[in-house]
Amino acid sequence: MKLRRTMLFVPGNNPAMARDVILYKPDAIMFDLEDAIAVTEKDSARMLTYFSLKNNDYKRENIETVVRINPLNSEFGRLDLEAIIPACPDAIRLPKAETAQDVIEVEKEIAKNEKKYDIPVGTTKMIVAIESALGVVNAYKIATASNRLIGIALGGEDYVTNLKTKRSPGGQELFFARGAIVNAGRAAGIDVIDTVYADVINEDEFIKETELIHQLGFTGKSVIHPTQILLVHKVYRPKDSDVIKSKKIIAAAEAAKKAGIGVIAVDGRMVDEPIVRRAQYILELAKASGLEVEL
Amino acid sequence: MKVTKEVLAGTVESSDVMIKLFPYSGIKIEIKSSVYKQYGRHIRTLIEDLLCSHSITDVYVVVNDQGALDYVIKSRLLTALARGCEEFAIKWEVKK
Amino acid sequence: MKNAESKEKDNLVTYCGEFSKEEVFTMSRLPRANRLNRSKVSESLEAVILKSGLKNGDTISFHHHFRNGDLTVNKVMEIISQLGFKNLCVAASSFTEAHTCMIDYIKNGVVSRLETSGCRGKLAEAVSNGLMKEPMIIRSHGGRAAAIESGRLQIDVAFLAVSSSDEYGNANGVGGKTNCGSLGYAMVDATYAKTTVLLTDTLVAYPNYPLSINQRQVDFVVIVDEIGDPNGIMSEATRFTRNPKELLIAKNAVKAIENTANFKDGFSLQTGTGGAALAASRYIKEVMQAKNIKGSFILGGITKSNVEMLEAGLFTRILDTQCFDLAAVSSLGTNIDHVEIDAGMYASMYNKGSVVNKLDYVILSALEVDINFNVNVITGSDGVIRGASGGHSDTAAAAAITIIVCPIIRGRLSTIVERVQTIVTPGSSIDLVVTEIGVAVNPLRADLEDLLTKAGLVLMSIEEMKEYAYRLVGVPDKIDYLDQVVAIVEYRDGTVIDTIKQIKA
Repeated sequence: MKLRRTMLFVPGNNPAMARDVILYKPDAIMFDLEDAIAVTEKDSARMLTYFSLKNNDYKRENIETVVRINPLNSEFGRLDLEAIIPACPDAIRLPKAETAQDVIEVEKEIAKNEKKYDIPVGTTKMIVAIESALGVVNAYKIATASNRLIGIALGGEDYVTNLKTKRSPGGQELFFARGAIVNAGRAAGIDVIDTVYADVINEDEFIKETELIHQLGFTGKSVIHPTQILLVHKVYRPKDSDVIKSKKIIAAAEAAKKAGIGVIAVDGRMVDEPIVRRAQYILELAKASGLEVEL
Repeated sequence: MKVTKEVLAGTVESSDVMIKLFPYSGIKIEIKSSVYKQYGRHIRTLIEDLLCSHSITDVYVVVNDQGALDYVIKSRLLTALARGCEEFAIKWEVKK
Repeated sequence: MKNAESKEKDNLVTYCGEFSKEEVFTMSRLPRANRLNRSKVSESLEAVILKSGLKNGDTISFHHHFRNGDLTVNKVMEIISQLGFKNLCVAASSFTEAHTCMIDYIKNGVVSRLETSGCRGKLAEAVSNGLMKEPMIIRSHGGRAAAIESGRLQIDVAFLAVSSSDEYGNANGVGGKTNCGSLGYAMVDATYAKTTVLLTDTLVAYPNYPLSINQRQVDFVVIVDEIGDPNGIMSEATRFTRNPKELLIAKNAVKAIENTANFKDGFSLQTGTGGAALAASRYIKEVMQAKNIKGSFILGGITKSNVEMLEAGLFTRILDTQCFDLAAVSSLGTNIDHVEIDAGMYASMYNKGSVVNKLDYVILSALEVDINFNVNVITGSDGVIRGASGGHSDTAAAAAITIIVCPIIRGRLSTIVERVQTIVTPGSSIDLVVTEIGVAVNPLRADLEDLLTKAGLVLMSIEEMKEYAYRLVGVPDKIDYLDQVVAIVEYRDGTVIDTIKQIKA
């Protein structure tokens, strides 16, 4: 079960960051070839990201590798996939999806490259980002457009611009989008990632926002600075009581399996499959939280 | 293959390398590095090998290195070559 | 007189006037006229140098308490050079970026030998490139004090900048316009130098207090316009880091400390400079507060972080040998529990017991550590002098637990190497090496392994650390040296632990 509490954005053109990130242990790294990279440097970022993926052992630290490509309707998107797929990232993130067709187009292009490089078709997963009002409207269709999808994310900055408003501390302007995306993601059975918080210095506001989205049901959050990683992980650390409960549930599930009994009971109540999965998830979170060094 | 335009790739930030290519007759490589004593010779060999494996015969390479790892040097050099040569074919290879 | 005559036969000398024997029966260089005037203040530095007894070939000394803001060395050397002195040995407590002027004096033959704890910048590069015929002598702080105390290093004239002095030479580093705090190094020089010259920009009424340097030790007091640049005291090394890597290393180091036996009421601590070492101070404070542990003393070069721990009641006393920032200077001047000590008391092996012998924990940086745990803090991996021996080998030898904190690589350079360029501190003094990827325990301290594993630290061998680093950066070429020795590194006891050769240009 892969945790996705944090997705650290790293500009694809920065050699120092590509290495240093391993140290900070986010659950996932997203190499950005899109908005963080100037038009004149797209080729450079693409090349460096290709090499970074091939030469750094992110897997050893259990860090998921994601690459945000340029939209396919730009001159860069296809070139990005051609270079990145052979470098075997875990997932491709496509920005600014508005329709299911956007997802299908990218999936086709990924499959084409997998075939070209003799990679089993379907290996590379996808994450899709919603960054506009239309995208929010089509969220469920987008979230179910491909089997490769493992997550749906919110791109807050572009979204509020599309709404013709600005971001604010309370986040009211994002309320509908967040709700819609969590709903769509969960209905589709995939993870849900919240948008970045740009003010790195303002830790208190960041923690407040993280607590909010945690409560809303998000799997995790995109982050832009290493210090934000531990703050998010702290918010996502499960309560001791939840951990104890979860241990009971897993123990009961294992006992039932051993005894060949189909029904799992905990404290006299029947417990079904989703609850067991949730318990596993809580224990994964607990394990990850326990192993961490706090900053 | 020749380099036909003056181009550059990379930056002078720490852990990066800035590579400038100039049209030239033959191969000339000039290296400035923050770790010249420890890796200067190795960097030169790395660049020579890469130029050779891509059949580049004519270029003046100016390297300003801030302690970039090998794969970063390769990356910046290939980016510069793709920018500076007509019809430079980049061969992407699958990660093993 | 009959009695007097027989007494003279037994080598006893007859009294013949109140001040008749003063010229021979005194250490002082001061002419008699000045003593009767009850003031040692001299009109000019030039006049003082001429009266000091300085000769060609002599050894002069300076301290470095004003760090990069030091103005004294330049002032004094300019006059000495103008007066035509030659072949002097300059035995400063350390050379900083402020001592680049020495290069010209060396080229002109004014100075022919250097003795120091450390050397940086252009002077260091020049020495590494063969500037001097005689090798530079590098000693630890304790080693320098011991050399002076034992007479191996004989200082002829000490030129000591002080923040305030009275007319008779009672001086300190806290009572003036420009304060440097502790005069730990200067105090040793003042005690043992043949002639002691104080320079100050703040003359106070007699008698001055506190008495870091006292009148018994002082020959001359010279008033100058400006004794040093107060902003130069704050060195780069004392800024609190936000670098997540350094914070992670610091956290690991403190986790190790927390889980060893010495961490209990009454423990003592020293943290060196460098991002991770200073960050460790902050985390130790948190842990002490959480576990309600009160320490006995903090030792060494003192920073704001240390002062905060004292003020929070976490330690009883600070024993201060030099102040690294203005917060430390201010605290020394006002807090009775912030105590100034001299370099001999701090770390000398020669006297009857220095404070390092009472240290529980010391956290130190390193430029390089090799697979035998030897530490280099004086030369870069390119072989050029760029650091200081400082208190490293003193504290490492004596502390109960010695922890090195360092990143596994710096840019493309591995910190963990096969063999260090220069050994300053021998591996037997080092207990733990803490990096961002894990902790290496010296096999001599296998007793610590279980404790640290239980604490949740990742242990690895020092060879594994080296392999990890070399896999990332590639194995570096060896540095080419010439045969010429440009510096001799003395261990605390005066023996030669390593030499530094001239680098190939």
